[in-house]
Amino acid sequence: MKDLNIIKIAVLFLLFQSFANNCEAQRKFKIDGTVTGLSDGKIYVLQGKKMDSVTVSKGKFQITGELEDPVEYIAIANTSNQRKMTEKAYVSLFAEASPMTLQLNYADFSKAKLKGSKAQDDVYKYDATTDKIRLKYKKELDQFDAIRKKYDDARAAKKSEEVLEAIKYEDNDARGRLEPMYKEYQNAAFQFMKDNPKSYYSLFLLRMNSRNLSYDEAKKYYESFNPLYKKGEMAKTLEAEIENMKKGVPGAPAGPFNTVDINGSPIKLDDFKGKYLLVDFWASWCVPCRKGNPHLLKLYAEYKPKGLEILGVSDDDRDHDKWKKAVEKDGIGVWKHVLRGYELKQGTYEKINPEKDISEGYNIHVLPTKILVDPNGIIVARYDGGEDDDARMDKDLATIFSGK
Amino acid sequence: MKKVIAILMILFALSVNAQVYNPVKWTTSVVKISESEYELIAKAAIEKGWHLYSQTVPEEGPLPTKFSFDGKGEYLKKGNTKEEEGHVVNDPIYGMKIKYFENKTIFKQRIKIKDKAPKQINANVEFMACDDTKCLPPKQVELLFKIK
Repeated sequence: MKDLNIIKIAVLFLLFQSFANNCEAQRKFKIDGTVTGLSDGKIYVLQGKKMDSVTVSKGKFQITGELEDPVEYIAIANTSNQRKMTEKAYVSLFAEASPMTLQLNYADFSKAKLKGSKAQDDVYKYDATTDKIRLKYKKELDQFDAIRKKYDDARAAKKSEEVLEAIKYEDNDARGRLEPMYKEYQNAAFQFMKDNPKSYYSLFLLRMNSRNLSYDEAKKYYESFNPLYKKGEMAKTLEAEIENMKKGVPGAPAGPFNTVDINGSPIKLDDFKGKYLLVDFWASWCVPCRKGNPHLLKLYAEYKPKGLEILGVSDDDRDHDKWKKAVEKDGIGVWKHVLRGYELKQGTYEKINPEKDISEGYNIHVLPTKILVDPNGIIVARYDGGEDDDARMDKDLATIFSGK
Repeated sequence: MKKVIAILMILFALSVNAQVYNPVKWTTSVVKISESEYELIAKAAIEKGWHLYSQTVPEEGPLPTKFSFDGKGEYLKKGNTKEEEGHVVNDPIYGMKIKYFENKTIFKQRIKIKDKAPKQINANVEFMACDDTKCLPPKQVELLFKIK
């Protein structure tokens, strides 16, 4: 196998990062392959951040590699050029220590069949279920594709904003009609994890779907999984993600902090004991956050006398001036303000002090996110879902403060 | 074809912490202009509804998209990184004109090789993304331009 330059494929790059970090190679994998439609030439194998070429001779080839996890996720492609990496140009597979055979069709890699890998067998089994779901929603899927194409064509033809806007509404509707399909996918994934807890693929499905589970549910699934696979890097990442689900959710204690506020005065979580506290994660550069400020001001005026405090936690550690200007401009200086408080290693996005980052303690990934904390420091609600957030928050606050 | 889409979705979903959105995906390519000149192209695929911002936005607006090219003296940048027309909106919150991209967009950087063309050029892009109701904090993605 000849080492090629690292080729970045955006799709695969981040995924493999966690694998690439694990340098302890324990075992090897080997795939004996045959390919139709190509007698002599090259195919390409992606593993981690690495891409290697593999020689095909008389329609046969052999792929070998290190197993850095119990099961390795690899991709095989007919090109090393990522611009040509179309749907038929590659296939992703789970490789294991046992001997495997692969049958490829050079014209359509997506139809490849891998034998001898238990994890891959399970993928095929799961795919059979999702194929059925897709078939059921064929009409909706075709509509969705057609509208996407219409939009791209209209854009290419430089149609007016109004025309494009109108297509976007259609697109939105088409996506709405696919919602039940995604729900069915999700249920299929949960069913698979219940039926096949010992499968490696269950770890993958849990990672994909953990967003729609509570900490307890995710933990329960994970505990039923195969201990053999829990030693790998991918399991470590999944474990950390599940542990993170404990933070910032209703029932969990609010993440403690101890810092200085916008006026330079010391401030800590305990200062808010005995009051309801709405922690508002925002930033000066976040338009949707700032659009919400007039509404927050209204809520503050109404509930402050009844015992509500607001704490703004801003993602403006890079530029304190912008933060201060935004607070002033929006007139939100009436409540307390702090920064997330993280520092980055020069020239990188690596946090040097994650323990000081207030957002970490609440598992914040999107702005705005608002967290409502009760007088005992326990989280009672989290609002990070977008459109209906305000309505939900208004209702919760009205309930809490009714009769006070 | 649909199955592959599903596999792609798996890749996307796994490519980040499962809780995180990842609405902008980057790919790169290189076009040879002459013996000593190349055009580095970074393409952003932006999910429906999300906005990626211009390299130049007003001082008090959102954070601009920013490219850094790691030269090591092997080449010179010829001009600035070019971007497409995009959409310009008058944002009522900021009270200023803000330029953004949606769906997909391309950034181009011309370079002039000094002696021998390097095999690849490392760069990175720093960007933030928002939709109508939320924003993702800025992050940095590594870009590799492979020169044949």
